[in-house]
Amino acid sequence: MSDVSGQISVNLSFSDSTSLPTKTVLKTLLLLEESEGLTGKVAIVSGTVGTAALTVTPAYRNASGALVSFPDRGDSRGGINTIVLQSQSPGYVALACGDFKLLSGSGEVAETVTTGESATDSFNVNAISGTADYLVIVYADGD
Amino acid sequence: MSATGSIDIRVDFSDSTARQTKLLSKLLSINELSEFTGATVAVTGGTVGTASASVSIEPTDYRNASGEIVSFATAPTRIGLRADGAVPVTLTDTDLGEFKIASRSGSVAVTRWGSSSPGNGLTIQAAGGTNTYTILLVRDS
Repeated sequence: MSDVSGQISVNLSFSDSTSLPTKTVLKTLLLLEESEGLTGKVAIVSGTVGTAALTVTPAYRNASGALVSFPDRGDSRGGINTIVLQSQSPGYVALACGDFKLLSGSGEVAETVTTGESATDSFNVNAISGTADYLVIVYADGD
Repeated sequence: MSATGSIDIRVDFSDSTARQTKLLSKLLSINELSEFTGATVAVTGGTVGTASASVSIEPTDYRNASGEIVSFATAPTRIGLRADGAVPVTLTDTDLGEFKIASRSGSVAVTRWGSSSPGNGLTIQAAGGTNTYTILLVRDS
């Protein structure tokens, strides 16, 4: 038995400004998430992939040495709830998890939640051209 | 008119177990900190239901600090989505099919857009109800 604790922090912060004769106009655009105290199940997967889609079922072993699985339980909380992708090469990596699709290029993090309708315990990954290294974290808030 | 800013994403988990004489811990982490100068940015949002709705990016309904409408003749390179309530909201690239992301309960979904010839078709939809959402569009210089 192992205990999972985690946090997801997303901060997209931009400002656009213009100087007028008597003032500066500043507009700030923010998109923020701070999720803390996350418990449940988590796994990490890394590898190298080419342009042919590769189906990946996480085979991560937790701190207790147990295999972490994400069974599709057929309800709204089944399968993988959140998936995070990072291309670790200069090229682009695409990921499909159920109906959901992410794209990441060169160190960028792409992330989405999924919905019960698309619950699955695996995902497909492929490089857009050539080969690329990828890193994926999958998370489920259930037991 | 151009904008400066950053994308800072940190996903950190620990997974630990206590043994008689020691604590075993594994750390799982994916992080990004990207800074932007000379970017084109826009924000849009609204309320969406179960009927699919188009999101206009050429032009958007956002005015920058100069009062000019922001338009993306080519697709943004990064896109973020945040839905406020519990009903999942999905945002889909309907031109190239490069992404479909979802948000609910304040989570932020982020992806790159435009690995090849960028399109500009975006649709948004809620699953099983209505929800309010915000989309942030970024095109790097």
